[in-house]
Amino acid sequence: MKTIGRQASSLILLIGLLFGFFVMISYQANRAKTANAVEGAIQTVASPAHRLISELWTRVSSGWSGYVALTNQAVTTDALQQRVTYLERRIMTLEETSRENIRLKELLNLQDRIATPSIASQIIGRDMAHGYETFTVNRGSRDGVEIGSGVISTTGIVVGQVIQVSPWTAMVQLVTNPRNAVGAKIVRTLAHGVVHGAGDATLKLDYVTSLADVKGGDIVVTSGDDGIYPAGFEIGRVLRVTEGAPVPGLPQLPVVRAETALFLNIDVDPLTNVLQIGQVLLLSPQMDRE
Amino acid sequence: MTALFSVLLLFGLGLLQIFLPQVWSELGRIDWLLMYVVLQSLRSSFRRSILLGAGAGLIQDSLAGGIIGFHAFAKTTVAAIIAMFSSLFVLRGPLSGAMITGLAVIIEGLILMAWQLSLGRPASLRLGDVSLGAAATSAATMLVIYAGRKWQQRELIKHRRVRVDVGGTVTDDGE
Repeated sequence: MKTIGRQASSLILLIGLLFGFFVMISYQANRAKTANAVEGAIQTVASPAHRLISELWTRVSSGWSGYVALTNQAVTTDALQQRVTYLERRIMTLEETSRENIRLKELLNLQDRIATPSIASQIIGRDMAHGYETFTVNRGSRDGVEIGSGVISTTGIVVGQVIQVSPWTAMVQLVTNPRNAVGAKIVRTLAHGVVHGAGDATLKLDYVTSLADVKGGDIVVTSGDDGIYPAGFEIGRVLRVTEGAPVPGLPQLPVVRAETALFLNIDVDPLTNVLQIGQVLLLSPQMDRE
Repeated sequence: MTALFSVLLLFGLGLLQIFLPQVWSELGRIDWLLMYVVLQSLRSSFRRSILLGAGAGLIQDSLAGGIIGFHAFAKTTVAAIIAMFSSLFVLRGPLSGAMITGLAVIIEGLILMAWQLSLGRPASLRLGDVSLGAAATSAATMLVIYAGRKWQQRELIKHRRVRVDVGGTVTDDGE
C-alpha cells in the first residue's frame, strides 16, 4: 500500500513537472525573451564560473593564436630571406651581364676602329703560379690565332703577345714579362724605344737616347716598328726618368747627359691590369706584316 | 549533501557543455548532462530520476539562454522513461551504457523536435544532428564507463591488499 502510494506520488510529481514545463514553454513561446526569476538566479550563480572559463579560454586561444602567428611569421621570414638571397644573386648576375655587355660593346667598337684584322676572345684562365704573367684565351689555331699575335684590351691598351697556340686555346704572355718586347714611342716627343717587362709589375722603356725629351707622365704607345702591334696603342705612362749607364771610357758628367750616357733609364707604369680584364683582341700578325 | 553534490555536478557539466564547443564545435554534440541523468536514472529511484532530469534540463535551459522548460521537459521525460524501464536494462559494460545513452539522446531529440514543430518555430534540430549527437554521447559514455570501471578495479585491488587477520592485527601483503 505504501509502495503504491509512493509510486502514485512520483507519478503525480512527474505529471506536475511536465505540466509545469509545458506551461512555462507555452507562456514563453509567444513572448519576447526576457530573463525570468529562475533563469536570472541560475545565470547569476553560473556567470562567475562562466566568465572565468571564457576568460581563461580567451587567453589560451589568443596565446595559441599568437604562437601560431609567430610561427607563421618565422616561416614567412625564412621564405622572404630565401627570396632576398635569390634576388641578390640575380642582381649580381645581371650586374655582371651588364658589365660584360659594356666590355663587349667596347670590344666591337675597337674592332671596327682598328684597321688590323682581329679576333675577339675571352680570358678563360690565368697563371697564378707565375704572378699572372701569362693567361689563356678561348681562341686557338682553328680561329686563326698564331704565335706572335699581339694582344690588346678592349680599350686599346697593349696586353701582351701569344706565345703558345693549341687548336682551341692560346696562351698569352703579358707585356710585363721581361721576355716580352714591344716597339714603343713617347707620344709627346715621338722618341722611339723598346718596352719590356722589368721583372715586377712595371715596364722599362729602353733605347731612348739621352738627348730625347722624356719626363714623368708621358704616354708611351706602340710605334708599329716590331711588326706585331700597329702604331698608336697605349702601353703605359712614364713613371720616372734616370740617366743611363755611362759610355765606357768617358768620365761621368751628370750635367751634360749626352756626353755621359747613350740612353735613358725610363720606368713605365703599364696601363693595363690583367686581373681586371675579361675580353681581349688578338691581332693578326700576318695581316699587319702585309 | 548528495543533492547539493548533484546540483554542483550538474552545474559543472552544464558549463562543460557550453565550454567544450569553443575548443572544437563537434564536442558540442556530446550531451554530458543527459549522460549523467541516464547513468543515474539506471540505478536511482523514479522520483530521484525525474528530479535529476528536471534539474539538469533547467540548468541547461538557463545556461543556454533558450526557452526555460524546453530541455527540462525533454530531460524529465527521458529520465522518467529510463527509470521506468531500468529493471529491463542490464548495465554490464561500456557498450550497453553507450546504447542506452544513445537511445536517450534520440528520445530527447525527438521530443525537442516535436516541441519545435508544435511551436511553429524553424527546426534548429534535424534527424542528422540527433543521430550525430547520439553517436557522440554514446562514445563519450563508453569512455566514461570504461574509465570508471578501471578506476573501480584499481581501488578494489588496492583494498584487497590490506588483509585483516583473525587476531585483529592488520598487515599489508607487500610487507
